[in-house]
Amino acid sequence: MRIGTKWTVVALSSLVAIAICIATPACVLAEKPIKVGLIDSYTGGAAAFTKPALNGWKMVIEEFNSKGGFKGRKIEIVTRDDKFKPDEALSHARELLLKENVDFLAGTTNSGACLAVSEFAKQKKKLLMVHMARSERITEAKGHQYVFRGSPSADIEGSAGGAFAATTQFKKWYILGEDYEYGHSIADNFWKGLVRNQPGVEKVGEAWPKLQETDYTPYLTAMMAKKPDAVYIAFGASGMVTIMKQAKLFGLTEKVAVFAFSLADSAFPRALKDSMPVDVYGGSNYLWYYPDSPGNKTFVKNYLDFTEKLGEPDPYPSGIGAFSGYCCAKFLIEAILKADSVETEKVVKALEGLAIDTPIGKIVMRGCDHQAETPSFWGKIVKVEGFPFPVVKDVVMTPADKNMPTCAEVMELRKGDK
Amino acid sequence: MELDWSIFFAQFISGLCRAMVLFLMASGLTLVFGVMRVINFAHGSFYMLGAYLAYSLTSLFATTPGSFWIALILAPLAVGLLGGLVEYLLLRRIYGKEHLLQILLTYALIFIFGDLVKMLWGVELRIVNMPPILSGFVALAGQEFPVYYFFIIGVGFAVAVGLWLLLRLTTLGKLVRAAAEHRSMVEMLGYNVNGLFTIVFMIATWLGGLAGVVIAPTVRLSLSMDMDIIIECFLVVIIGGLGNIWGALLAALITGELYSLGILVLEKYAMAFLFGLTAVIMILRPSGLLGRGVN
Repeated sequence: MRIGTKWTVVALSSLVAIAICIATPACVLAEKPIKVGLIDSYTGGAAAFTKPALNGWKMVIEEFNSKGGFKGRKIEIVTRDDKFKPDEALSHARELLLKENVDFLAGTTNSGACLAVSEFAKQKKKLLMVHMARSERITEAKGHQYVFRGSPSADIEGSAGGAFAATTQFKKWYILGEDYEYGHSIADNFWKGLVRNQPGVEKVGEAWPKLQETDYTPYLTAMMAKKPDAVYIAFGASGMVTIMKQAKLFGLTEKVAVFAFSLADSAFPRALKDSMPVDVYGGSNYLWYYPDSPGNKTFVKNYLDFTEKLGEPDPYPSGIGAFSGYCCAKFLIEAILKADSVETEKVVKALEGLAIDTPIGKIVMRGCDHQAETPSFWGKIVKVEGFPFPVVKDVVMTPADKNMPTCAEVMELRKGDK
Repeated sequence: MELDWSIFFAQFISGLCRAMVLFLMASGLTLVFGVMRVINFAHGSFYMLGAYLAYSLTSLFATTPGSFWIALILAPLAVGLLGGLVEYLLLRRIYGKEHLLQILLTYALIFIFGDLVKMLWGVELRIVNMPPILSGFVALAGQEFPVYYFFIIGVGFAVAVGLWLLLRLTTLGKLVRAAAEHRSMVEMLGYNVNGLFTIVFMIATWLGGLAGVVIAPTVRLSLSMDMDIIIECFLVVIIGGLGNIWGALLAALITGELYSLGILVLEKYAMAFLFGLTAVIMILRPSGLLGRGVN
């Protein structure tokens, strides 16, 4: 055999190999990861919550990848910092889709940013998994086929809070909220939930300081002038720390009953340290110590192990952050497996009505509006022996379905918005 | 609503508190503009650095009883020294050049310091604990006020008096005022104007750092705190008249009280008072309350 023939054989066999490769997706795609573009606020006040959320995502994805991924394809997260601004979030979404060719979009913490990205996802027919932004408009009036939320909405949290507050029987209420999408949205829903469960409550006043205000002093003194029995603090994650510090400084919790959603989340007592108020009423979408079940303990342990590997051990996973990220990642992965595809349309179909197992039980993604049915946990935050910081002592769990609008109501809202 | 004087008084005190915070920030801004004709956009960064340094110092000396006081003295000094360095290495090169360059430079500093803080302290929520001695309450006219309010008000007035003494009674102050009027004349008399500017910038950034430490126990520290406060401070400086320290004090008092008492009347729209006031003053006195007009 001459050298020429030998080369012909080599060339032919490689051609055959390439041809086989093209015919079987596994060969070509083995290297190509499934990309999730995660847009969130990694600078500014919200960063303390977005990092644990990212950890939640990564924890689920790493386990999935280590088991071989989806048909050999691993999931890869690409993050972008929107600096809590809608316009930046939108331009990142564009860039992620056009340059990074991401398969799915995820994020954000800012509700305004979320609505902007959601509109874009709708136009481009790309799936957006919302993991922290709370505005109910995201899945209600402004909802569409491609947007899903694996975390609570403001009306789930707000009305659960209102229902709980009704059991405490305070009569005169004051509302102090941050003047932006989330603040108004959670306050409205709280009030609706309260009035529904306790007719005859009276609102003696309300005030709306601007977002990122530094000094709430004049608001606190003005609020006390109205002599309320209880106040509802409708603040976002980053403003909550400042208002609670100043409320404590002002002695507010001794003068009046204070209610604030998310204050029961482990992120706050740890951030506030000595300034964490006690004997206030707070809630969360997840508590690391409740329910005291083997499943929850395993989750807390896994999260600790995972964050330890990253060099920042976190023994108390937060609800706003870690748990929400965890749920969203799980929804996405299980939908891909169920659809047996990464095609947007098929994953969308698979997500509708999908139930995932979580440390607090099954959570269902409601098919009609793409809103996860997440429960809420409320109670009085007190010092309890054996806990590193104040916790909710007698936890009241409210399932989501009681606090969500019906499918028909949501569809009505969507129609009205067009 | 029935007029209750003790409520009015409570709003007055909280307004005073707010005014002093604004003045602490605005005094440094306006001093730099008055003397050096530089609009220092990065003033908020020095404020943020002061607060973060206070965090580090109070954590470092957590076991020492007076950790907050150590921070109150050391953090502004460190910020002031950094300010001196910035003036010496950067600002000095652009005096007399077009204003656009100044804006570009000081604006760039915001990003540089922002990333520096992010690298050094990370993005986690940081808070500074209230010093125990200042965490009690004072009863006044039937209302209880946190001691810390009076601490803030006290620091504000001390700074105002201190600046007045410095500018009126010391040679440095006289030189500063002279240089603000006529830089080349001071230079011709044989004084080192460059050195003078360095000192002025150090004082201004020291004030920014001081504001940061004083605010630190009442807020969360975050990477956006440099921008959160700066707009209101610029409004105060503009209302008071660019470059005029007493104008800044007057404007801070007016805006603080207007805001605070405004909440009593129209609690939902308190912010509107501030912008409304700015608009009215800009129409009636475009150079600000105590400004001397543009020359």
